[in-house]
Amino acid sequence: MISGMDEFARQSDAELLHLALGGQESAFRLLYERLKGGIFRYAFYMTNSKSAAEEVTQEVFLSLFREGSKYRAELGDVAGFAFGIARNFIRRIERREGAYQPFPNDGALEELSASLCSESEVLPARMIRDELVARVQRAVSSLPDHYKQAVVLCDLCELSYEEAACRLDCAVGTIRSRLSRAHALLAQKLKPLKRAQPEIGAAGPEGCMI
Amino acid sequence: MTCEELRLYFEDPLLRDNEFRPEAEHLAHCADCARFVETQRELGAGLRLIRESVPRFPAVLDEAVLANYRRQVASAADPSRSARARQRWASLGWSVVAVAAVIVVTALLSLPGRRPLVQKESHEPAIVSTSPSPHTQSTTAIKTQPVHSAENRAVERPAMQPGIMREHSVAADFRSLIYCDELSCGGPLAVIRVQLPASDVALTPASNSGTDTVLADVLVGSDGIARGIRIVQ
Repeated sequence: MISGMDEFARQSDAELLHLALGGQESAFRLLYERLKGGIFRYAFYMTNSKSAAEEVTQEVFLSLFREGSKYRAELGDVAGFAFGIARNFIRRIERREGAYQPFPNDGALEELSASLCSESEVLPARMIRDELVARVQRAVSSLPDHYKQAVVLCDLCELSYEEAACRLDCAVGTIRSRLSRAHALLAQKLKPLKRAQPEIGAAGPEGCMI
Repeated sequence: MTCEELRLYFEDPLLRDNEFRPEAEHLAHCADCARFVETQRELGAGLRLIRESVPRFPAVLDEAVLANYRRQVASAADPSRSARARQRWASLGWSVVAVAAVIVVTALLSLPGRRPLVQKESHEPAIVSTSPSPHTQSTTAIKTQPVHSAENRAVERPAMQPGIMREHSVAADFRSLIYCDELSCGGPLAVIRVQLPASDVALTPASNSGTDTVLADVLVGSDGIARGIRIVQ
């Protein structure tokens, strides 16, 4: 998707959008290349689902063409506009998927986590790592939406506070305080795992053989 | 370094990711801060793991998005296509409306009470004898038109019942043209709107309006003979 895009390389996102709406495919492709990674990552972190992230990314660029004429540069950058579309799609997906809630069996989760930790020396490191990732993902997902948005944008998508504030249409101080509160909540949610870990050494692999 | 400074430092994720070496002395003496730093480091490691776990961007998505874009551009550039689609839908809609109308009309025609009236309304050209005087020329020039207005139907209804038509019972705004009694005016009557030369219908003051022609409703029996007349305009 690189050929033919050089001529537009110096154009801003807004100009590219304008050209893309006029049917300039190269402009659209360049704009897509600039935005797709951020949107895909944001959608993935918000949904924890690759297929949902793909769906959101595809819908965002469809809508960008359909609704692009509504974009106003004075209200923010194109990335922010696309982010707004993505956010709406993610909410729609969450409402749709909300009908299928997992069983509220947190105890089982702790047990699984502890057992995986206790078997750390016999299980491949990758499995433990995957479990840890899943655990942190679940903790992030369980945050209230405004905290989750702050964590996803600042900690995971690595946006600056200013950019995150612009995306969420709030003050930088609000982002800072939400992030601080979100970190405290996450630390609290991840504590059980930390407590389980010291027992690993004590039990040792022999404990699993019994 | 104070506890406050240390916590502020950790509020910035960019700083947190850097190698952080808080004053060992402070951490050695402050258990809260030591715990806090430890927690933050673990949290940072967990979040870093999530960042790294994002799947590779699927190449098929590029193709799908580009194909969607091309399709949108094509449909936007060819307004006739969308116009044709709209036309197709519109004609389909009209067809549905027409079929529905036919069904409704058929249902109405099949109602037993309505049949004679409708048959009368789809009348053949009426032979209206407006007066005993020889006006055959004017009657041949009569324009007939079916009467469908509710007002006229209201007039017809009592006339459709045999035996109720008497000379004085011709609907109030109709003027009798011939003697009517149960025997001569029995059976259904139809109302036919006709256009007559004004000079020929000097029946009411309304007819003397000075125009060349007048519109009149004529009550016609099943034998084709006019029973009454009403000047409309």
